[in-house]
Amino acid sequence: MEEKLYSLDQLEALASGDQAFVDKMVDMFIHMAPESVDRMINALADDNLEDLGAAAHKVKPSIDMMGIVSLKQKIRDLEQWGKNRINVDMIPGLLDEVINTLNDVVQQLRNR
Amino acid sequence: MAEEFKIFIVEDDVWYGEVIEYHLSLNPDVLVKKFTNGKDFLKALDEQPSLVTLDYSLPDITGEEVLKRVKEFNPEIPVVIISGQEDIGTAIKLLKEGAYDYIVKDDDTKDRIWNTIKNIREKTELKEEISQLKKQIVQKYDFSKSIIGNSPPMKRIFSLIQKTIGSNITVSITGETGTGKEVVAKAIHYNSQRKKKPFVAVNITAIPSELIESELFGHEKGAFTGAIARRIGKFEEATGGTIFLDEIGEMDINMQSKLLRVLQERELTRVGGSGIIKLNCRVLVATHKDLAEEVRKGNFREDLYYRLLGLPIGLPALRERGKDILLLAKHFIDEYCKENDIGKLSLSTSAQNKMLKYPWPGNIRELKAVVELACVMTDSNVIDNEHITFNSSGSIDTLLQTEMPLREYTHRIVKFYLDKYNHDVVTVAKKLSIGKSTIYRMLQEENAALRVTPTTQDY
Repeated sequence: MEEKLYSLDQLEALASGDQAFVDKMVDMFIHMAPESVDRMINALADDNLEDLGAAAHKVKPSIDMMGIVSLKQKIRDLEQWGKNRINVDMIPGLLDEVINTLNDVVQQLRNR
Repeated sequence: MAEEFKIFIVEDDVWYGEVIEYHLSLNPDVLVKKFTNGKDFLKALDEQPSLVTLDYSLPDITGEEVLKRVKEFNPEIPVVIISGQEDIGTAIKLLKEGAYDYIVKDDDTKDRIWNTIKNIREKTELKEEISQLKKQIVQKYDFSKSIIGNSPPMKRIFSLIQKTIGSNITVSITGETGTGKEVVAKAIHYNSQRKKKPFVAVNITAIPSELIESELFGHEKGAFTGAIARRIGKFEEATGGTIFLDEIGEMDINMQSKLLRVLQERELTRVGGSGIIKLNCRVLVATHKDLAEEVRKGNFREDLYYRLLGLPIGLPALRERGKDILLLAKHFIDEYCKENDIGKLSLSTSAQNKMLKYPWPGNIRELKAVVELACVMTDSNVIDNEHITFNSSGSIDTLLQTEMPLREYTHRIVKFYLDKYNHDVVTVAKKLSIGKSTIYRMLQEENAALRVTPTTQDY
């Protein structure tokens, strides 16, 4: 069985036993993460790197709170590079990594 | 009592908004409302939130603009900026523009939000408490509440006090010790225009005569031995407010001249100083002496006397106030019970009568002491005759306070001696240079009188 890419520890600590809340937030994430992914793909296609950065910025808190440790730094890089148009040639590769991980997380969450 | 604490969350990220809303709603007396854009939030400002958490990057307006509009609407509403941006420059700018705090969205955010909320709530509660206490102070000195009394002499006093409130006229308060001169002075101050400014009380007898001048007018550093720093005098302390000079009759004649000059010129100089300080305070004075008599005796300057006379208020002695004695006793009993957290105590009829008959040489101060002692001594919730003890019981000094026929005075004096010498009639007769038979006759008359039930006189 593959290792969990996420962790519900933070949410559970916040909820203090309120499982309904944890489930609600997980569901929300399952729905919203794909939307963020689409937004970022479209932004890159339009070469709208600023919007790419903004989208990364928006998804950042949920990545942190869902304990997706592998994306913590990557999402920040994506945000900074997009906003400031730096390391432009590295962006597509980084975005791919982020998207893959996010999709995997969503899959894992669906199956939990 | 706690009003609902309303928190408005302005956050366009739905996911994060849910998290914050959940987190903040954990507290039962917190009401949380969410907005996903600036315009909707601004429209709802009329609901006067107690706190706003604002995401810096909103879709429709900049966080900065929103902050500005909130501060324009009500500068008292604390705005906490929660942002994904770790940008110190932005943080500083926003804090300068009135943001209460700037929190970055990361793992610590929740704790920091809680701390901020706790601080804000404490501050709001403290502010509320201060404003309540301020109101209480002003209310307490509404003189009909702080000066208890319904007797005709007191009603006259109340109307006199009423006349002093509207102006700055000097007031000279006279009366025996313990009649409430300072209470009246405070009532005048706290009901006047000057109530929010200082009330400075000075007891002339408490200050050594060498130090009075510097105490009242202040001194410069080095003005005299022991003057190690500049000191602001009581008159200066009372600027804008009221100064109360208690026991003005005790002031020595030299100081009186200086005081007179200060009052006439309306300006003073600190001891050893040269600067002129304008006098801007209202003057109230009090004394238990008869100042007119002191003037006649040459102890008090006549010009100062007239300067200080102003509106004279002569407080009646407690014994002249009839039923007020009981009113005041009940007040002190209630105060005692409240302070010591015990149930209500009441006064028996015989205790009441005993108190009504006593001349109270110490006036209200003595009454309070007697009442408190009685409260402590009683074992039940009734204060009876036996619990009322006077320290000056049968003391000769109090004898002349009450008027009575000469033979009554004589009887009391004889009784006093009998008590003192253990009813040794021979010794007493010798000491008073009267015949033993006189004493025996007096005692017989007393016994006869006791067989007739005395009526309690109504005062």
